Amino acid sequence: MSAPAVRHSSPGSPATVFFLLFCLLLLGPVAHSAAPPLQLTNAEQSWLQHHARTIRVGMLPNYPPIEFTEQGRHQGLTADYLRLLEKRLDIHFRRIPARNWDELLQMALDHRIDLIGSIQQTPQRSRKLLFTSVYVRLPNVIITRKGGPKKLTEQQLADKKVAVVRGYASESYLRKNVPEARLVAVNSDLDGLQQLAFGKVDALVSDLSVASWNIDRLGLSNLQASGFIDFRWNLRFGIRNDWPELQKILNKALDAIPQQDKDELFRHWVGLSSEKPLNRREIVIVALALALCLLLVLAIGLWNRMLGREVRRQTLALQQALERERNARTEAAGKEAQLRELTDNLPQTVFETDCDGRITYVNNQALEWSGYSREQILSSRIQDFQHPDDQPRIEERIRALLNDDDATGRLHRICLADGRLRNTLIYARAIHSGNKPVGLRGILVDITERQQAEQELRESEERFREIFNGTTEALFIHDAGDGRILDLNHTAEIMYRGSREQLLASDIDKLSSGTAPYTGEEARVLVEKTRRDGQQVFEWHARRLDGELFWAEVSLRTTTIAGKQVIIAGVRDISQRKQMEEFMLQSEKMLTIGKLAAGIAHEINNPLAGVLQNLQILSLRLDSKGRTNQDATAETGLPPEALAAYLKRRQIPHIIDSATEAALRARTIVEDLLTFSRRPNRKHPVDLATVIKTALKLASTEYDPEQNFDFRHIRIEKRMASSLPTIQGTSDQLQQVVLNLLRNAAQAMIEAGTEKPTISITLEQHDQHILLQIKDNGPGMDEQTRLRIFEPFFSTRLGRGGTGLGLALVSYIVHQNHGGSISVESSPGRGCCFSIRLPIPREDS
Amino acid sequence: MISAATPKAILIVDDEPSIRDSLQMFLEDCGHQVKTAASMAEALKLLGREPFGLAIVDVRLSDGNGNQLALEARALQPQLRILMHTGSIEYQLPPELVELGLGEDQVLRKPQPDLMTVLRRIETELGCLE
Repeated sequence: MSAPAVRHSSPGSPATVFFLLFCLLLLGPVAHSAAPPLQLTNAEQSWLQHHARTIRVGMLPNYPPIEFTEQGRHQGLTADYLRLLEKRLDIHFRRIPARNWDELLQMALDHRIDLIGSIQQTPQRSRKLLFTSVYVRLPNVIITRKGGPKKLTEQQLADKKVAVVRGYASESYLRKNVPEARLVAVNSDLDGLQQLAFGKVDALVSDLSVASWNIDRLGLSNLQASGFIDFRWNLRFGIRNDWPELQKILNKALDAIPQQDKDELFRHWVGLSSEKPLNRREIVIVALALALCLLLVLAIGLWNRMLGREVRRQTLALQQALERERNARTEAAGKEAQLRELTDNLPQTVFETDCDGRITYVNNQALEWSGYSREQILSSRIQDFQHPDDQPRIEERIRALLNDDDATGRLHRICLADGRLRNTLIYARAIHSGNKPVGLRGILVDITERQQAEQELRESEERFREIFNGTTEALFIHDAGDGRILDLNHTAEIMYRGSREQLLASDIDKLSSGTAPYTGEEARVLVEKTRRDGQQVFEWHARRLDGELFWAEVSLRTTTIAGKQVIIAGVRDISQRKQMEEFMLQSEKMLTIGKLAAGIAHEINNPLAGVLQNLQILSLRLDSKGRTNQDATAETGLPPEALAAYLKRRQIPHIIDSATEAALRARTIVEDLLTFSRRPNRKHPVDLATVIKTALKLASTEYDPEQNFDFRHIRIEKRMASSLPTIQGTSDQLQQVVLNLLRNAAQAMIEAGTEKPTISITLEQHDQHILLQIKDNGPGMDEQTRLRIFEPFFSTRLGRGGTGLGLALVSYIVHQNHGGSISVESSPGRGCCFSIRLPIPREDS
Repeated sequence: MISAATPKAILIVDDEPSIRDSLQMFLEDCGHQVKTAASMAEALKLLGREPFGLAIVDVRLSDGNGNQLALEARALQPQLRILMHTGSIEYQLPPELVELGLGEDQVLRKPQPDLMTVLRRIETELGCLE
């Protein structure tokens, strides 16, 4: 028989008597007194406003169905009353859990809580607490084993062993009103029920609702409610004695709850309508019903007696079952206690909350870490500790966690008791009851220090990156083992004209010119040497990703990064320095040569003059048309025809021509050399476009049928900016420069048989310079040649009319006489481009 | 063609025999009367002895300076035409010679690639081509 009092009705359970009894009680008409409207005075309203979120109410965890904690949530009749009050008064109670009744009472007496949910008023308690009016009355019943007498009165308890919960008001009531009863104080209703079931006591006096709840839960099929005692629990709210305002407010609020709602709550939790005095008619009906019950009970008793043995057997089985149950409970309780102890002392902040974020449990570490007391934490919601900015986020987070949407850690800023803000990661999961989430359980990890360390690391890394990328040196980090490029800086990308990815995919071979000794192989030897002997600094001929070669100064050193041996290569582009060095060297050479030439020109010119003159006279004297020659032949008897034939046969004129040509070239060399020593003529404003046009005109007349050289076969492309500023210089010399370059390009292309030989001339302004470029699509040159091309007497055409001074002169004129610069870009098969930069004079000079 | 009133003989002063002798041969082939001197002293001796229409004077002589010789020659023979002959490209006429009426046209630079140019200059000086 199930007690309808109980939410969990399990069909087929015993105690039909009980059932019927309650059914009858339910028949009673319920008086509906209209609830007065809630009217608070201004003072009360103001008091309430002031305490709207701070009133602390103690929670009893183990007094079902009145109040208890289930899955972290305050449940039961009182809990629902509290919720009703919150709604009515528009306030929020802070719920503080207590472990048991004694603790709860002590907390109230110490004012660690402001309100107790369900308490019986006693004179002793009245000295310390204020009480509201009674909001629920619960009868106390006499419970016996089945088969005993029914319809017991309290006087019939005389001489019986009666269990009563220690410290309950019912204990003192019985002691006073039934002094003959032998009272056995038990620890709890549950304890009493078990002692009764095992025959250790004859009866138990207990609160009806609590007893029926427990009977149902334990399935104690051999117990029955046999009668009432004239003592009820009159439950009130207890209030700290210095808060009379709250007493008044709660009384008004309780009065304002409609009776219907109160009945509904009572029915829901206790199963009875609130008790009312029975009227006569009801008493008759009850008496009849009881008589009927008695008959039934008697019938059952008879049947029971018939099956006495069976009953005893069953009782024994039940006893054993209960024993097992108790053992299992003890064991489970032990395990739970172990786990709880473990959790309590875990060096990690653990917490539990209900669905609203109200904290229902924290372990010791949480207290130690936060600096709050357990009471402070348990009377708050997890939101209360958040940085104000984060509160909307945590609300959202709680909702997400309850839906199992998100179990990952999230960052929340928590305010500690001393006011410090800590960055924490909160990991939590929903606690479920059935399919419904009822709260959260989780841990909290303080990552403030970790974040600071990370931040510092990040900043340090940024600083390092800044330096790494900011340096004017290209930096490469190579694997010390295989030379692989592991990292590089921004300067490297610029210097080698490639993206980071391209460079990471390249290797030492690709970044070297490849001309011995600047090969990948040699580079690896140097890497090995660095590993063996330490830092190495050397000049290297390097290659950019677009193919251009350049000179670099490389320093290699070893270091260890993250436990790995690496080589750090610092590369400095020294092309310009190198070019300057080259130029200085050449310039010096040219000056020396110039001085020397000036000194010896006279000595060379004199014998040259002798050679040339004699050759001319020789030529003249062999001419048969000359008058003196004719006289001489006549006098000597040599027929002029014979002489002519002889000369022709022996190629004398050709020999003379060759000698003359050689002598003339010597004269040119001397003249060119003298340019190096000669001071330039007075400078004038020069229009380079005109210079180029004149040079082109001069060049176009040049051709050498013997060498198949004809400048007119070459296509000329001109791209010259109009109205460029003039430069200061000597047009003759600049003309010579352009002419030399044109000639040079033409000769190279024609000798190489370049198809569609083309010379492109561009002239444009670049900042304070005029840039003149003369580009051909000829055979180009290798790096060795390119590097020496401006050296005096360096010629690839020696013996074919080259003096080895043409480009040296060009360079000298540009640098020395015009303050400009000249460079050449070329590689075999890719033509050649000379760039000349001439400074535009400042307006003021 | 050659007037008796004005002497047409040419004096070549040069210490380089190959130049002196070849020039003499060339001019004689062209029908000129030519005397040569290998030094300043020798030249002055000849100039003191006979009249010349033109002197071709090498600037650098073993025993003196061609400029000085030119001055002295003109002092000896005021009608004498003078051509300075030099292997130095930097050679510039000294002011004394410029005062005597010499200019860039009267400077022959060695080596002359074409002797016919020299011949035309000589004949111009001597008035043969007027």
